[in-house]
Amino acid sequence: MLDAFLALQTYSFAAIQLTSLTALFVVTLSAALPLLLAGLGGLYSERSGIINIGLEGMMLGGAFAAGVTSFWLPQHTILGPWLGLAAAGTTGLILAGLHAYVCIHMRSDQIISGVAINILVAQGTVFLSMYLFGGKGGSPQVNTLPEWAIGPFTITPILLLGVGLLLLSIWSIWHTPFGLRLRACGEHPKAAQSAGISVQKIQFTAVLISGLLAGLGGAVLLNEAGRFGKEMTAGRGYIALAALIFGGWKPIPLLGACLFFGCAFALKDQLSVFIGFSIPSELLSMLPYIVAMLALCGFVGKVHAPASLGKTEQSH
Amino acid sequence: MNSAKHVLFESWCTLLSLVAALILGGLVLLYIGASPAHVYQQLILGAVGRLDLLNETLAATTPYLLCGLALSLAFKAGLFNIGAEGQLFMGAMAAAIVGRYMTTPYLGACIVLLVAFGVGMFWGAIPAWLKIRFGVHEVINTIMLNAIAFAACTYVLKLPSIRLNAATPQTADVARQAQIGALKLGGLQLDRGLLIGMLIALGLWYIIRRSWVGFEIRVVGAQPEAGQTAGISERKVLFWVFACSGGLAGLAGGFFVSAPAHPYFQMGFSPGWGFWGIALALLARNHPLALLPAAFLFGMLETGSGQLQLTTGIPREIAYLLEALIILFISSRIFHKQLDPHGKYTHA
Repeated sequence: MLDAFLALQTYSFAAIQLTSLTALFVVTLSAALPLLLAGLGGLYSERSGIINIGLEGMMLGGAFAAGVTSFWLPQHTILGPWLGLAAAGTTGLILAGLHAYVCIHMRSDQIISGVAINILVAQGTVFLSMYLFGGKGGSPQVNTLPEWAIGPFTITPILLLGVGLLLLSIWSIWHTPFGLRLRACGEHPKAAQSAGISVQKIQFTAVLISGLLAGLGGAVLLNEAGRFGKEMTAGRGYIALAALIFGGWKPIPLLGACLFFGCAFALKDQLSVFIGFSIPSELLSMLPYIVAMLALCGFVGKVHAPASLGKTEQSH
Repeated sequence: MNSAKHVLFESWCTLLSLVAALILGGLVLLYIGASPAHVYQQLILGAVGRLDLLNETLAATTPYLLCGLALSLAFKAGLFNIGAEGQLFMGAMAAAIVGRYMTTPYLGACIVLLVAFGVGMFWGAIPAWLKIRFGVHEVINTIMLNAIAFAACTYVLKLPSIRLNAATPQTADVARQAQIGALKLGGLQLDRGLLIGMLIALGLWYIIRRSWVGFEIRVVGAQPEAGQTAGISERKVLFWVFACSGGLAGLAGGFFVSAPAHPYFQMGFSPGWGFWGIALALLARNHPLALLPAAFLFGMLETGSGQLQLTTGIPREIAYLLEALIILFISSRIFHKQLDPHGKYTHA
């Protein structure tokens, strides 16, 4: 975690000089995108009643898989980063499968399982990357996805993917039979079961989707950084969860919360440029976290959590 | 339910989890082309093979033990104190800053430890208050408070009045009179922090098992509604348990910075004791006395892996990977389900 924090200090958006509000918007967007993907993952999982603290580990695992895939493939293949994206999603799926098995099938504690996954991935990726890349546990520079410049904006395939997945999530959770069943499992699993829904199957699917999305979020992060670093997610999985709660477990407010946290991340490097006098960077780096804590205290109004969130025993 | 049988069953499942973690870790070692038997042998020899290494292992056990106690106390009341690492950092930093001026023998050391405990308590009381006042789950808040603590410590270490002109930013040394050396028994050096940690473990075991306070804590952890009916103030119990949990984590930091080998605070001092405390609490099933061997195992892995890296060049992170696998096997309760499908022993 300390390494993660230090990584956040050094790996930031310092490379981009913020000279205008447009630039701030661009940085906000790129900081918000991994949060949004992980947050959407959390949305599926928690709407079905399963807490997924393991988002952090699934993101990190995704970032690692994407980095290794890009690194292993010949440097000239443009396919590398795309396959990396697929590998990241797959890694997220596998880790989520583990979480789902432990939480739903074994009915173990959901938070402990998530924490275990986070610790396993944090230590496992460091060990494996020390073995693969040597040194302090980071990868060399890898190929990243293409960018298309349109005016002052750069459109990345990932941005399109993020928007697409957001729309897909809204549609699938609110306008399909699957979404209705998903929400029923999170609110009142016994009622859902009486209606003939297989609660376990729905929850398993939801957790798998959440891992897939979190893994993709990790790949996005890797794509922005250009290389894998030790604990490079730096708590973004947790911030995504905070954004999910902040957004009241709804996709559009979730998007707003992610942009808000993204803006806090972007501002932490550049706030002094805007306000004209300098604030120590360490104090500014607290900003996203303090904002998250205040947000959770309900200074944004009461939110309604899925009624059966975290209570697996009840669903059987 | 027979309590002895229950303990035996839990120990058996823990042992199986350890073995399973060693086997999986062995597969990883085979994958990177190392001999598992050789590596495990080196790990053990590097931890207890010589008297000086054993002394090092004993000293390395202290922070694991105190953080494990912090976490298991919180777990007893149903609290997830993921913020032990932040509480540890705040306690250690405060102790190091105050310790510089503590030139009175004995009293100085006591004040240093009290400051560490108090500041850890304060950092643990914040999420406790947020939980009972606003109903915010402590997991996210403690994670945020960790990040804030790291930022705060980095900032304080940059202040001209605190920072020492060393290669890595660090505080001035804790005054020599306030440093706490090891108790020497022949060649064996027993870390005094470890001794106090063992006393705290005994005390906690007694309090949780035998006293009214301990009963209240267990009721709040198991059945808060029943506790309310019995007139137990859930809020009060949660607040003080969380604060004391933070205090224990802070105390681990206090003992670390008052050891003569490294009597100062710097950012990289902890390999994540606060987080490993979660694993330890799981490993010991929140039992204060079972934490003693568990913490010693982690201390062994700490020292042994350092030696392993020196002699064979295998990254010491293999130890953390093993610890992560242990926590994974235990948290999944896979052996409980396999050996006891009807939950006969688990709900004693």
